[in-house]
Amino acid sequence: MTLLKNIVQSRTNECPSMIHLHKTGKTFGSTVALQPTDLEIPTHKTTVLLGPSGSGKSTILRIISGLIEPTTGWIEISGKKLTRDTLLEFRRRMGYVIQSGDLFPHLSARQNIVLVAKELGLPPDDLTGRLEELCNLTKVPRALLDHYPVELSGGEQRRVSLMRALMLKPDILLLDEPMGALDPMVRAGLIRDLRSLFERLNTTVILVTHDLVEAARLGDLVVLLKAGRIVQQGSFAEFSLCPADPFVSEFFDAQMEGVLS
Amino acid sequence: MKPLLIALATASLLAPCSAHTDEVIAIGSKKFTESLVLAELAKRSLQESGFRVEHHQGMGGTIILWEALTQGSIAAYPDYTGTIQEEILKRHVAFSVPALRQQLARYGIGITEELGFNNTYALVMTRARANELGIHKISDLSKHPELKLGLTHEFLGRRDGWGPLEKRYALNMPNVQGIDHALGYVALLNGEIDVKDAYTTDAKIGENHLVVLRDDLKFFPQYSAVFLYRLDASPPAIQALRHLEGTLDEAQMIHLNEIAERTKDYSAAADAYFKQIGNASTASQVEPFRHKLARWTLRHLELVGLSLAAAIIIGIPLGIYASKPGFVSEIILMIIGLIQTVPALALLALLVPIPFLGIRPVTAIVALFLYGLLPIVRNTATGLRDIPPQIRDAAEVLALKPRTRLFKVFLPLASPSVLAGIKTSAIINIGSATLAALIGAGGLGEPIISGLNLNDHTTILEGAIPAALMAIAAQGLFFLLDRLLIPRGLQLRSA
Repeated sequence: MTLLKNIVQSRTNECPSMIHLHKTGKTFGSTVALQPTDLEIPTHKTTVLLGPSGSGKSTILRIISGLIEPTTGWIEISGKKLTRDTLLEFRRRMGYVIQSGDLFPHLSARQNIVLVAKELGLPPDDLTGRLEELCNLTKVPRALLDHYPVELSGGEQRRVSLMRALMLKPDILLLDEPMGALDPMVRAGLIRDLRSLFERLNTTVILVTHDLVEAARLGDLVVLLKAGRIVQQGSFAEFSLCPADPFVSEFFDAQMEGVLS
Repeated sequence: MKPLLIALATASLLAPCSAHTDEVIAIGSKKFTESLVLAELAKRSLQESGFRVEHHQGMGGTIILWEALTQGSIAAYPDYTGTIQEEILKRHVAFSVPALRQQLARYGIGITEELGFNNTYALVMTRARANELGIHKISDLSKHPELKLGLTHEFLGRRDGWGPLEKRYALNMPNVQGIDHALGYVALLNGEIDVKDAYTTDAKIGENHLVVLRDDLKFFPQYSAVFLYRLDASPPAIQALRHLEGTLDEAQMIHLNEIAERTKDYSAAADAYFKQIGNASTASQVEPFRHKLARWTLRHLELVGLSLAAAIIIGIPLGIYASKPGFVSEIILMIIGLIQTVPALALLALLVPIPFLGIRPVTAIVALFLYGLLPIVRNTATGLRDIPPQIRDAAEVLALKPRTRLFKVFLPLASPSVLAGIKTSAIINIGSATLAALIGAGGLGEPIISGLNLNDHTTILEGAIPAALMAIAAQGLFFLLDRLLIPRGLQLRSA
């Protein structure tokens, strides 16, 4: 146990922590969504927040994105506290993708992607160039850009949402179960593409999922949560070698069963 | 929408033209044949003296006409001494015309001498039914408490109406219902009611062989016809009204009423009068139907278009505000919902006494505007409230400026609901605008109301059919507007 912690510690020391949770907790009325939690999220790595529903993994993501405010503690991004006043500045550096339904249905894929850039007054040439890059990066055929969200498949919608999130070259990419609503074939393709994408981008990525395959394929650091508490964190290999809690093995076994049957 | 509004505005600017003199005299009349005929006589007499006259036909009851007169929306209207004494001055002593003149002067209102006939209230029955039951005078009714009475709403509410009469004669009649005057005659002849109120000069009495029950306790006061006019009206105009003093007896008035009802044309009765006194030179030109229809329709479009435009301009921002959860939003929605529960007719009557409104089209536009608010405000608010949380979160994290978020994301997403609200408002207002004719604001309600007064179905349909067609046209227009204004991405979804 101590050995594991040291390994994790040493690893996170290698890369300076960009996002830091300080005793950050959230309650909704009498329900505790997240116990006061300390967590360091390393820069330029992919951190997977793993756990069953109600474990508090999405709550962490929503606090980082500023959609909800923590009831206890605070968070720092690059050593700067996230407050109402600093929120806007941080948001300009964030991209956010969720499971489904986050594209504006009345706008075409292209209009969705460039909405903010246009608002900020980026020159059209830059927009076209950036769109080109993003199409290559996310493997979206350019013909799809003129389609409306309703005309796109689930996988295409996620890729467009990803393009929108990446448009302004964010430092932080937040993904909340982005593959939750996709069928297995499409998902496998997207996982593969995301993996190479994350490697090329060199961005701090936080991915929320309940799926072991995604955690294994994409996570540099995996954080397993249960009932609003962190149970274990480390590389995926460390989880299977050295489970910190019976829940870790239970969670792994349950998912393996699903795969085998 | 824009071209339509421009067309409406242009139409309203062009409408009043061809004045003979600079001075236009507005006169009013109540909602029954005799009042309309008397006002036509006044109109003709004023025209003789070179005035241009606007006759606001059948504006409503005494209170509305009195308000219109004291406010200056009209310069004159016909009324009766008993009504002035009971309803306007609220005195229970009989006044002579000079005494009334003294009282009315305090309001800046003058009164002509009696026109010559007494049109008092009366209770009437069919001859057959009266003979069968042996009823000849009002006190005979006490022996027949089972009789059904259908009385006009005005008579039911008057100080010299049913309540005090029942007390005076110690009657106890449990079957009393309120009914429109013209429809009451139909009910009486069909035997659905046994007794109704009437005016002694009512043409229907002779026409339908009705019996007037004798007022054996002398309950009804004198109702001598007179004109009330504003003392600040121009002296030649007052003089023109006074030409009619003492020129009409009961028989003659019944005759004129009968002509009006037979020809469905009040000015025909005026023609008959002026022919009789040897002056047919001013016989009125009958306005061709398509001119009338165009006039009604344009005015109707003007009423609906302007009120709807105002409801959109005020309603959408109010709806945006009310979409945010909170106490103030609930209050806004509650107040606007409350306005909707006031019957349209009552809303009109409530607005008439407000300064700057009065008996004018603008009052009808204000009432229709208030009526049109609710669907627009509510649909805008719910359209915005129904935007899914994922979309709200996405807009939030993308850090869109509030302006962009509202105009580029939220309002386009709510547009189907907002447009549906505007459509509902438009259709409701096309229907409600027919009531505007009650306060002289014109529109397609004009033939509907005179048709009701004359119990003439053809005239009613002259207004009802175009109004229905207008509602259908509005449906079609909004179908196109939906296509045009709702973003394509949203139309694909519903397809």
